[in-house]
Amino acid sequence: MPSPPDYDLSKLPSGIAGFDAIAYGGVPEGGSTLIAGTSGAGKTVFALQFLHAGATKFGQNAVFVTCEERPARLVRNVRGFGWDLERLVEEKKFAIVDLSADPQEEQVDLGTLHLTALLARIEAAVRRVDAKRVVLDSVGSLFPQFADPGMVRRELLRIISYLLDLGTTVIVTIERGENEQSIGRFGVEEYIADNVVILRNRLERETRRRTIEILKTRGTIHQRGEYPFTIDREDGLTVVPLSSTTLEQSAPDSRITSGIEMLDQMTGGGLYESSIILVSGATGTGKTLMVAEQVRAAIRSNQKILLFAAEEGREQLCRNAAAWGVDFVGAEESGLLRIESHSPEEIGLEDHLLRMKRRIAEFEPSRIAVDSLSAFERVSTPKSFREFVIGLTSYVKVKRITALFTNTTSLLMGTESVTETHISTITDSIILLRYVEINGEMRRGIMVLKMRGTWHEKAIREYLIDGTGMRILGPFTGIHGILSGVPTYTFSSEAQRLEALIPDDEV
Amino acid sequence: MIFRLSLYISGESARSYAAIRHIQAIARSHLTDRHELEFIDVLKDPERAERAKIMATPTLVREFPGPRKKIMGEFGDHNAVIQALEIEIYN
Repeated sequence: MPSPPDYDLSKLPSGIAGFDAIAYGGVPEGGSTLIAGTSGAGKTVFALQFLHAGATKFGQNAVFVTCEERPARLVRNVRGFGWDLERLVEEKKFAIVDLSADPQEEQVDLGTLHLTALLARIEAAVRRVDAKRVVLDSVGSLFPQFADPGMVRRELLRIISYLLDLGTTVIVTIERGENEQSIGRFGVEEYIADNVVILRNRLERETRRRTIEILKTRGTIHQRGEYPFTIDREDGLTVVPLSSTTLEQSAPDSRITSGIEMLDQMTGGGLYESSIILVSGATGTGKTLMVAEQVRAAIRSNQKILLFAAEEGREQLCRNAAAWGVDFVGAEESGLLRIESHSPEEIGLEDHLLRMKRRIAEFEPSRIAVDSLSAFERVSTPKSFREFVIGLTSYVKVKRITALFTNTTSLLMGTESVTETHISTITDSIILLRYVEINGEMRRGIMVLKMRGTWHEKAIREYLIDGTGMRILGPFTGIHGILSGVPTYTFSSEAQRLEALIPDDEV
Repeated sequence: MIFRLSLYISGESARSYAAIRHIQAIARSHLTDRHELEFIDVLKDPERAERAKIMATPTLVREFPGPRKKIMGEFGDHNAVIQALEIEIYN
């Protein structure tokens, strides 16, 4: 991914996490930006967050012109985000101009009028708080109040250009029809704004998915396409800037142990620090055991590890780990381990990603494990799953965290899964766990399929699972096609066949 | 019944003066001795326009009798203004 180029127009930080990354700096300063979206897409939150951040973080006071929502309701609605607009109004950092229609009042339009009074009110508010940021939300609600839509269009344009002359940066929101044909419904959008941002709130596979797209920015550049975003109480609106995460993370060559001595040998000396490891295997091959081994290794080297469990509850994980001789409960008590157990169905993938990032930021682990990544695939489209994986991996890379992901393959023998094809290019190491059928007996085989930047063993070794965890034995010999799921045997003699059946260390 | 009216205009323009003339004429002929008329220039007193939630100019507001009513636009058609003010009904 290219790094953000030098932009020709200066931009204002929006105060919306992730947006500035896809907009290469933020909202064009001294310009007008149109935010279009269907009802409930998050336009007002976007606009208010821009203003609130301006007034509280960047020393840029703000004016909010509301055409729809009553000011009292507005103030109440955003209190949940921790935005105290009333106090900002008292401190003369924020002003609200109320254009909402009053149902108690009658109104007659005899034609040939101007919205000069409106302009005067907005100007007075801008001068009163010395505003640098102005929002008109949402201008569509103005049209029904007057007989002549052409007049409203003309006057809006006049108001916006006047605001730009005053040196403010303007955001105008507009409601979009459900059909998504045109940008707005009132024919203002073509010339009203230099920049157009579209917010979407679509139903995909029975889950709501919010995305943001920068459609155009006049005279400057931006990232293209739709980016997922979330709205929640902690941060308001957060854009997940996927492709804007650069691949310039450092790649340390220090190694850490996988927790299994033989696996460290197979990988040529252990796993790389701050690398992404994918453990892929069918159900029951010991993926969760690999996670437990990671926890054991982390505890031994006094490193913090954060475990995201998507398939098993906390109790069950602790019990299983205890059966392999790993004390999860004790590790949690000593503060080295934290288990986050959430069902993938609970919330949307973007929200999962946001929550994971927050937990990582809070706990500051050296390692994380996600068991299993493929569980998240169940609840999403391939596109948003890919975005989720990229978002998570790039975050842990930046944080220099070693991450172990598990992936459940759908078939017992051989073959790959969708998850593998999706994320194999992002991972640094891939470890395969496979069932191997030999003479009517199910055995288990482990191999290091990929290990970026180092030698690794190419053989498929047999392993056992017992009360001490995972025990890796010698390589299978005389067998081909384990990965394809259809092994063939090339034993020349009975003796060789027997030898293959008996693991190395037992000879 | 006394009609209390406020006329919001913007600046000392020909449009503003025309609006004032029309409303004064209507008040004289149809609300003789039973009207209070106030003129507000929104450019000089935007805070007043904010409180009254005025958007367009010119706007004539019937403050009393209630309910509050806004009549916006050109007042050249006196009959339309008289009708909008509902003078006959309140007589």
